[in-house]
Formats: sequence, structure tokens, C-alpha cells
Amino acid sequence: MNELSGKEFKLSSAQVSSNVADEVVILNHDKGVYYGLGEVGATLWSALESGPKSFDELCAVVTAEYEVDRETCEADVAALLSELMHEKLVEADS
Amino acid sequence: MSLYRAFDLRIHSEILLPELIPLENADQEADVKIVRSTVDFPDLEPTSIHRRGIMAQSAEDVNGAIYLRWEGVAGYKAVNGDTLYIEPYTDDAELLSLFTVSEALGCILLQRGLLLLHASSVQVGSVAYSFLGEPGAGKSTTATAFVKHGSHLLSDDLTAICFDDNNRPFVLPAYPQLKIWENTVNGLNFDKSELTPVAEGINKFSLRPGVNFPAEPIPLAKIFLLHDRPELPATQKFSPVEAPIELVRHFPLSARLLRGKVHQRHFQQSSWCATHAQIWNKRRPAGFAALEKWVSEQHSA
Repeated sequence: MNELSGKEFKLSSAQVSSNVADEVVILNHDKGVYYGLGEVGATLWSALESGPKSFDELCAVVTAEYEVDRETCEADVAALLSELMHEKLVEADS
Repeated sequence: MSLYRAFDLRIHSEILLPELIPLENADQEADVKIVRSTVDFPDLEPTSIHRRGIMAQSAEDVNGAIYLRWEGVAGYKAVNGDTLYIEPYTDDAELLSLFTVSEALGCILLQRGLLLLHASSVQVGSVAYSFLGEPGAGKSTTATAFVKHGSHLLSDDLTAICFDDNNRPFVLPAYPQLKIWENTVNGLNFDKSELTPVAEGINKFSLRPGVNFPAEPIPLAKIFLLHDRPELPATQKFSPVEAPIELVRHFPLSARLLRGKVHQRHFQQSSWCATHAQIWNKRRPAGFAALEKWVSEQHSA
């Protein structure tokens, strides 16, 4: 368990993204800064684009697509979400 | 007061705009009005936009009005996407027209929500191709070679793109004028008697393909990012996901206007272009013979 596990996540209103195949480029138009996401990040992003998701739902999306144990997956998803929230691209509701 | 058509808009103007297509019925309601007026400028910032060796200064106010000022030529204030105020500093009518139908009118187009690119565009068959690149990369020369081969000119230097309900991009026909260097005129074997020198002391000619200038927006099919870098492949598909970042580099107005919602819209529209059109990195063909060969291949493809 970690501090993110009880929360729900959604894309912030400060972002707009371009999502093609396995890649995502995101713009934070409040800051004027661009971000790129790799394959796993893009998987997570696509899931969030279809609507708000809980931490468990996001982990399930990743484990369904990649061969990764639950513990590693949770750590990776938590790290990615923290970064996306720090850059104001994703918001958490508790 | 004269009425013109450009960028799919009816434009009422208090100054003469000989580059544009004149419309007969001057009583028709206009989409855009160009009005002579004094302009009260806020503090202006320098830009990277140069025309005839003059740098444009620009600013935006809290109400969304865009200001543009060219020392010794004219100052402009674009309001609400429908009114362009011009404060002339010269009596040279041709110079005023040249500066009015480029970036100044571009400010109005931006306010109307169009995607603006520093690009020249042509209609090939039923679709549009746009050529982007650094100054000197060959945008106008490439467009000229296409026109020589039978394509219709859509725009030179400033390309405006609109989108339909399915987010498909369409190039708006700007006005029928292409400005080309004398070496392009010679290299593509144009008859100089059909061309007009742009101005005294400037080695450029104006090509005015007045017939068959398209009236309707044309679906955008290909974007070519022209370059002159030997280390890159001659032709390379551009990653669509990077298109929104690349196309920002080709925004023709002050980069400071690309903030917040306007930046968001530019990003979104660029990404729609990448979805519906092919984007190519294209090394400019070496020499006019190679250029004409490539143009001919594009027509038969």
C-alpha cells in the first residue's frame, strides 16, 4: 500500500496531448512546457483519457498489458503519477 | 472603400489592397473591416518577425487585442477577429498593402481561431500540400515549381488552416500572389515579361496566377518540412506525435501570442493535422532540375 492507493486520478485542465500509437506528447499550456511519455506512460495516459481512474484500476491496466509483478507495477505507477501530478498534468481526488 | 476576398473572408478596406481579389458588389456585408485610425499602443515587445529589413514589434492587451508595429510603415491593432485598425506612417500604397496582407491580417486570422503556419501552399489535384521551413529553405521556390507544373497556388508565406466538425484540416486560399527570387525565375525558366518586379532595388518578382485561384478551402493532405541538412535522409516520415511541437516552430506571428488557450489550440490543431495529413521531412532537391523532377513525381503519385 502507498499514500496514492485510495485516490482517484484524472487529467488536469492545464494539459492537452497528442497521442499516436505508443507515444504521447503533452503540453502544459499554463507553463508552456512539453512532456513526452514512453510506452508504459502512454498506456497509463490513454486509460486516464477515457475518464478518471482509481490507483487500482490504473495498476490493473498496466498488469494486463505488461508482464510485471503487482509490487513492481504499483511502485512504477505511483512514481509516474507523482511526477505527472508534480507537473500539474494529473490531479488526484481523495 | 473597397471589397476584397482573401482567406475565405470578405474584407472591406479603407486602404487599397491590390494583392487581394477584388469583389464586385461592395455593398455585401464584410467579415473583416480594415479601418484607418490612430492607434494607442501599449508597451511593445520585439519579435523575430522581419519584413523588408524592419523588425515588427508586438503586444497583446487584456481584452485580446493584438498590436503590431513596423517602424516607418504602419501600426496595427487587431480586434475581435473582425476589425483591423491601421495607422499608416508612409504614403507608399504598395508598401502599406504588403504589410497589411501579411502578419497584420494574420493577427485577425489568429483571433478567428485558425491554425497559422509560416508556409506556402498549393493545390495538387483535389488536395493541398504545405511547405514549411526556415527562411531560405525553399518554401516559395517549391510552391513556384508546383505552380509551373499545373498546381494552383493557395498561399505564399502565410498559410491559414481551418477544421471541419471531424477535425479534418483545410487550407484557406489566401490570395493569388507568389514572390520569387530572380534566380528562381531563371532556374525554372519563367518568362520575365509575365512577372512584375516586387519593388525597386529588390531582386524579387511577383507571379500572379489570377486564373483558377481556388475559392473554397482545400483538404490538407501533405506537409513538407523543407531542410538543407545532408546528414538527414532525403525524405523521411515525420513522427506524428511530435507534430504539435514542430509546428509551433513555424508559427508566423510573435511567439508571445502562443500562451495559454491559444497555445493549447495550436497544439490541438497541429495534432489534428498529423492525424489527417502526412508530414514529411524533405531535404530540398539540389538544383532546379532535381526540384522539377520531384514535383513531377508528386503530381503523378
